[in-house]
Amino acid sequence: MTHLPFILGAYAVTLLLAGWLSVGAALRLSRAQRRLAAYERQAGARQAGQGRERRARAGGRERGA
Amino acid sequence: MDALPTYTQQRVRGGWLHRFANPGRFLRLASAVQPWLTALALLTTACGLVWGLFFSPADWQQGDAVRIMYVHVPAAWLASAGYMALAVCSVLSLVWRHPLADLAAGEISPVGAAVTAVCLISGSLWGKPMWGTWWVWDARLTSVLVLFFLYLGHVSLLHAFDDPQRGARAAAILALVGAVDLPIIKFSVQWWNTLHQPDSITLTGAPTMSFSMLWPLLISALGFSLGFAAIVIARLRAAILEQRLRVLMLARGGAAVGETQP
Repeated sequence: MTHLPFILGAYAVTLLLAGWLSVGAALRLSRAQRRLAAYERQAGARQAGQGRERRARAGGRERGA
Repeated sequence: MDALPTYTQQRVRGGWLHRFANPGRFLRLASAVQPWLTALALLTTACGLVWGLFFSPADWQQGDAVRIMYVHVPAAWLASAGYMALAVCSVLSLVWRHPLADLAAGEISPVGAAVTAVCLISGSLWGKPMWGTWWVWDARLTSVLVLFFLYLGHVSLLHAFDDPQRGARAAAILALVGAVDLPIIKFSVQWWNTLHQPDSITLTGAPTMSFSMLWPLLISALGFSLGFAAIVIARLRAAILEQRLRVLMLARGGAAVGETQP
């Protein structure tokens, strides 16, 4: 009886599981980095917009006075 | 990146533990180490497996089926070592409330379960041509199967509660109780009469296998270990970033509610 199918099966299972874990971890990490960067960009833009709004309101009050 | 707000509120006893409890510091260190670790893991694993598969000699008794050893034995060692790491994280979590320990435990257990599955499947594929059966309820095989269920139990318990802290606590207790399985796995081939062969490599005695088989086995085991570390670190980095995003979104949600209130 040849042992080749058993040997190939064992190596294939190992490589498939290792590949699945590695690719899964890499994708999850890049997704988390992207989402955090996007959120921080949005938060920064929001803060900048609020700052401009406040300055504009303050300017309007000064002109009114 | 700064520490997570929830983490900074926790007090961790023990100076050196506290030093490494900062997720920001961990992220900086891990980002620097990850590419090197991954490259080294790939290189070492490829070297060990190619050597074992194509250049190591066949066994006089088992023939070429012995080549399954180069994936089965490193997976078996790593399954136990991974569970040991899980138990250490659980102690750090329960005793010192180490902020990274719960996250690390949560990332180790799925990877450990996968490695244990590789050990069981490759062992089964080795057992069929050698023993004539895929599975026997032998002490070594059964105790490794129990280890697999312990890993799965840890993963399940972590997500079984609405409060993640309670889940982490319950999972940590399971991991500590389950650590009793590790010496059973190790000594099962000595304590009971098993179909599984006794250890060929021990810390105290000379190996009972030829060096032409031992070297690829050790290199393969090193590669598997580095790969395990690289995968867990990548998952842990992702978990920290996801948690940071959750905290920021919660803080933003709270601020938005505060802004709308009179």
